[in-house]
Amino acid sequence: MEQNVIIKVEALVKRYKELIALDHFNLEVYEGEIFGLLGPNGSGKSTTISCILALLQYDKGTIEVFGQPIKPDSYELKRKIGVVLQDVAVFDELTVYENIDYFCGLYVTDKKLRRQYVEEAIDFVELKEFSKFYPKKLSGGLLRRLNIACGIAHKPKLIFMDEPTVAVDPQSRNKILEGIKQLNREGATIVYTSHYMEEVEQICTRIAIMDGGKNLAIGTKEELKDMIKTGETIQVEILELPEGGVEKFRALPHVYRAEYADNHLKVYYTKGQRNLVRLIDYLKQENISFGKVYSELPTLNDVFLEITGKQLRD
Amino acid sequence: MFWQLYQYRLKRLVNDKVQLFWTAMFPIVLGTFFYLAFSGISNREETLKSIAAAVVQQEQGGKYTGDSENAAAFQQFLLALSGEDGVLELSEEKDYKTAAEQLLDGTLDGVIVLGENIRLEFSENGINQTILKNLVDRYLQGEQAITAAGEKGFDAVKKAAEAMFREGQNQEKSISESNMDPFAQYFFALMAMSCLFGASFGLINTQEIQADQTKVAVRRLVSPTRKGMAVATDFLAAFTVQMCAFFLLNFYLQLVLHINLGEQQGKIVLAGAAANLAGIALGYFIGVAVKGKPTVKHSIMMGTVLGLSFLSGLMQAGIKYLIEKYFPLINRINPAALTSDCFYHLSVSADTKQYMSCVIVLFAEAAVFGVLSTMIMRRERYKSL
Repeated sequence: MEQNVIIKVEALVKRYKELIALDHFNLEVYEGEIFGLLGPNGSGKSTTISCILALLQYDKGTIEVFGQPIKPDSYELKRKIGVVLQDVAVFDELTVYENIDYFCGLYVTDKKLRRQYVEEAIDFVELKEFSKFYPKKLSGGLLRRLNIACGIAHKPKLIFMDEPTVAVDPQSRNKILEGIKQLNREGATIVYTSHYMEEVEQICTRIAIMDGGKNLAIGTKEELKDMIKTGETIQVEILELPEGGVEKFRALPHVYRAEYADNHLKVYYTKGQRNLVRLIDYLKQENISFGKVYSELPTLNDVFLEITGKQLRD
Repeated sequence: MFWQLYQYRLKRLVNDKVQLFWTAMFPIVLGTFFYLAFSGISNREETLKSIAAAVVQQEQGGKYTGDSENAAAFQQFLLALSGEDGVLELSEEKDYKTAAEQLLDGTLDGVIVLGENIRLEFSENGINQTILKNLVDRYLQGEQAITAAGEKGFDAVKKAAEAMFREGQNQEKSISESNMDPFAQYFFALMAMSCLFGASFGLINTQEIQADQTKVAVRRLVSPTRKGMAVATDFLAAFTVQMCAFFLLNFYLQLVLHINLGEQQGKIVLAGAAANLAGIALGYFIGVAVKGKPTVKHSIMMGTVLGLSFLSGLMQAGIKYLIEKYFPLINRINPAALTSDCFYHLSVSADTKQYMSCVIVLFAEAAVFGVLSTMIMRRERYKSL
């Protein structure tokens, strides 16, 4: 069944003087998914969102949202969109309730319906007991939740979340991530940008890896992991490795790399099953005494490392 | 929707404590300082009645050069204005050199030199000097009018004299019912400054509708609310706050400090409305025309407001008269000077025509700044955020 495309970006080019922020960037986001834009700071994630929201002028390319080109005066399209910005964007002079009511009022004119939406948003972000507080009295985590409530109170069909968990404590972060999943379950399509691969991996159905303004890879997390050479990495604690031992490990089936440093042997497998059992059997067979053994499946960081040649947080 | 946006905007501006201090409290505090400072310098009632002047005759080769008959008539005119309840306090000094020294040390406000022409000499500019000059000018105009009428016959002289009398009566009325306090200029300038502080609200409003200035603006711009609606509600809220601050200052100056701003409260409010509109619109213009960070724009706005207030005589009343003498155009376009002139014309000169012309120019400036700002803001898109 063909999926409904909500956002379509084709050959988008955005320059800041000499710097190319987006270099022929392409993207398709389908209805009902949580789409992750993963990349280091400066990779072009926020610029992409600003262009899609018709806030930034771009040099080339086309952008369609809900099948229509988006412009600053596309008011009907904007009615369906919610935005949670990276920085907290609320009025310090209004209370929690007033802020949500104000921003919801930019979308919803019916007073009764707006009151209902605002109360639902307050419940959603669990800020009921803080509804009369001014933002300055809120902790960082609570502020982030208020920021989210201001962006989603009007029940948008498409939500952009630009690093909504930056500088948030783990407890608040988990609540935010759970909330995002709930919004998605309720029918919202979400575009989520982050440089935290764990978050993206945890909540996103499809992920685009960005760097230098380019979309380097796109797919589900499984598809992305399948794109790289590393299938499994096994690390073994060995106090003394016989001379030439590393070479022998490299010759094992599916191993494409092995290295020994600081009393630890690291063996990289391409694919294959039961790699751990086979490695332990081999160690016993060679009478190599060993301590702790760890097995790691590839992460998005490995994917990013292999695709770009650098760590995600470099 | 309009009402909801307006209400919240009003609340946002009113809850901005720092901004509210500068708009509502600072002018009151400064006004109190002015009052305390000036009430210690002079007795206000005495100042009203005494413009110290000396009349001396110009000497050339040991002879007076003036027309003795005309000089005597003029001296009679001056004597009529002096005395116990008169506007003038004429010095007994007849020697030019001594009078000039007294002029320099501030004992005298002006020296009237009787020669072939009547000449006025001042060492500084101020309200007393302006009044003295007006009196002399009026006398000379009347003298010319009667001389010209004399050539046409007795009836013409009679009509000219009657016209002068009527004008004299009007003048007498306006002077007697008005505040001639030379320090009133400071309070006029203070009110002008208070109105121009509306620029600050104008600037805040632009920053919260420009995506490259604040994050709140981004949130507002990605919403389906039309920019025009947001700008209109923001402007109206700023105007409401400014007018409240204006009423508060007006109330404080008139009822607490007993500064006479004139009897025509409606015209005072009209002048305040025009000045506040011009102030807010100036803030909008600075907000959209100046490119840079919010702090840069704020500094430029404050510099502009304080500069214009300085030129209108807020820190030194004489500045305005110096500008009037050498660069009068500045006084015709400086919104602070125009506002202070409005109050001057209402309470001192009772010149409704001049008052209206100042109010119209203020409204025009508000319109020009408003239209230019709207043109720049309209469909604004950003190269970077």
